Amino acid sequence: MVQKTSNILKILTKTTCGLFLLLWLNVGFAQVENTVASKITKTVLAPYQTKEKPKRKLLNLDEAKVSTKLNPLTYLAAGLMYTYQNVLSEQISANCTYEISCSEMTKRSIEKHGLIKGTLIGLHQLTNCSASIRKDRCEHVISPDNKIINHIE
Amino acid sequence: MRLVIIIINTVLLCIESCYAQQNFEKDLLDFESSIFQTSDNWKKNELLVQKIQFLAKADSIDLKLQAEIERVDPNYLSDSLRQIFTWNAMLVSFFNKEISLTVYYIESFEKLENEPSTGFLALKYLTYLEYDTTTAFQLKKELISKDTIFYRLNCINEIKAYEIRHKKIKQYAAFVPGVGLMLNGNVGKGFISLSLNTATVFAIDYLIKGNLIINSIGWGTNLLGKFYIGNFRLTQKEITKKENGQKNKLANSCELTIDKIFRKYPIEFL
Amino acid sequence: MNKFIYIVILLTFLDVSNVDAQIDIQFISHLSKQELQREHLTYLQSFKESDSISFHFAKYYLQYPDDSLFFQYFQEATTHFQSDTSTLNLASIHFVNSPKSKFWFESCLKKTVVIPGISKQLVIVKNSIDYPNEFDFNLLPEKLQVDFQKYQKISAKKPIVALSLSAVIPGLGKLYIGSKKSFGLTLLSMTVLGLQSYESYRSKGISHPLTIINLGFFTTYYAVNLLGSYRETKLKKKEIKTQYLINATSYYHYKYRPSLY
Repeated sequence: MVQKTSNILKILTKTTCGLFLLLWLNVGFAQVENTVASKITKTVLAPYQTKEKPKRKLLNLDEAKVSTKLNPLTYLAAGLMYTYQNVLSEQISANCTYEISCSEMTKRSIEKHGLIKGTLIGLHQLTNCSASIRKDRCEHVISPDNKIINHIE
Repeated sequence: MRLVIIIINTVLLCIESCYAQQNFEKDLLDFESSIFQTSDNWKKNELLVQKIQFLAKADSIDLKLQAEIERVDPNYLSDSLRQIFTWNAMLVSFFNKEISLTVYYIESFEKLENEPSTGFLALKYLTYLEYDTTTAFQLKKELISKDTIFYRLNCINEIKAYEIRHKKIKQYAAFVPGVGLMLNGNVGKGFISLSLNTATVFAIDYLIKGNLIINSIGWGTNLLGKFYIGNFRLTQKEITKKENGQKNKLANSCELTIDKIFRKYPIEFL
Repeated sequence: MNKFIYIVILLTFLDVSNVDAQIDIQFISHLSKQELQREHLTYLQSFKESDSISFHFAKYYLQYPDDSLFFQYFQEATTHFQSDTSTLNLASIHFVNSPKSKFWFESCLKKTVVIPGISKQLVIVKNSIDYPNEFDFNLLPEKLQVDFQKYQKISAKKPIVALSLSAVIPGLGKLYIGSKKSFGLTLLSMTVLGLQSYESYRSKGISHPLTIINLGFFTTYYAVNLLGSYRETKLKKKEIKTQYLINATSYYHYKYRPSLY
């Protein structure tokens, strides 16, 4: 028994000492990787190394009410929204006046308020989606890129 | 005894990373404390330069470091310190993409150093590519005369100049919606665009033939306008996307080249 | 021997802070003015907890805003704030347009013996928000009067009235709250959709798909216009209130320029 414990302790000692050594080595390697040369490369090429925008996701009903989850029309709306956002939206080159686009607003409002209220909120934004509408709004809700700052209620 | 070693090693492993950060913050405070306490402008600026060195070497390069640089008055620096400061300020400005500031520090450094290193010239070239292409061109000639490896810097010009010849694609997109997209390789999107535009034209034709003038104007301006202009914009967007994709590929292969050059002619914070 | 080595190593990792040292106000002031956030925090953290340190922590969290931490330290160091009118004023300017406004003006500020001048003026601004109809706008600085009058005007508008007006003439509710462009857009869209529906109904009949589509759009637009007028009234009230408070904040900030140190 004493022999076994001693062996285990031996192994543990070696392991922790090894880990300690590895930690220091790791710090050393990290410094080698992060040289000024690699930083220059990144700085010069960063503007060209762009990543593609991910496809917009399907409606997320994880936190929706049970009635919303059970309503088959919710799933129809989810499908329509997905098709619009990923196919039709680019065909009309939609350039929304709002920070959270009309379709995104509809989607997130449905997630939060259910199908009827959510759709109406989204449609309300859509019917007000025009460049001239900015003149009706206060200056603090206009973002630097000239979009109306909106929130999910 | 072994158990003690294990416990101590484990504790050290856990606190090591935490205390490294704490020591860094404490050193930073010590620098600032010394800067504050000294009334001698020469000493103050010397300490500021040391603080900048400390931050730069710790890889803490951000706009706050840029602000630290602005606190330095080079008039109170000895020649050697001024050289160190100018060099570091140049690198920090370069990494923060402050092009005009980088140019300013490059010019200041040239006044202090009669024979700048090849690495410096390469960095100057990369900066001037964004600032003054004529000077950049001259610099490249100079660099190539020193070492033919600098021919490889052409890869950046290739990325910058890369452009799809899209004049014809746009013309096709204007005449037959969707065709421009198809020619660009987006067959699916082009087909959808062509279908939507054709269907809308037929629908409007149907409305006109049915003497539904208000409907034809209402639906026509709404749908056809959106689909036709949309097709044109989408074609432009897809061309840009394709260009960016190609530039991305070129950039990835160029990455190794630049890295190699700056490993051969290294540049470090002083 | 081994034990001794490990103890020495362990001790090197332990923080030996200047727990009993005196706070150098001039140095904190320097750190604050130079906006050296990291050094400022490290310096404060090097001291043992006390009222005076809490006071400086509160000021720190006012400069680099964290409202809940500010309140936590403020409660611990209320006595230190009694004489620091400049910080009290800065906090009042900061909180006048904040969700914690009520807590600051009605609970925290009243704990101080004397409410400083600018804070008093900001209490007036706050009163003008709470009781817009009974408030005399002459109590406000001239530059804020126009903003207040806008707020006073919109606060009297009722969402249900906007909805009723939009039911009579589409978009009229939006005109009632001053959104002229939105009114124009709604009225124009409704007119076009109405005319389209009428035209298709007359030539194709009610059961024709085109008429059904047109009427569907018309009805949905009408319903959305009703809901929209109701929601927009509420939204616009909030928006104009926030704009008034933003303008008040910048007015007091730039006119008096109170500083932390």
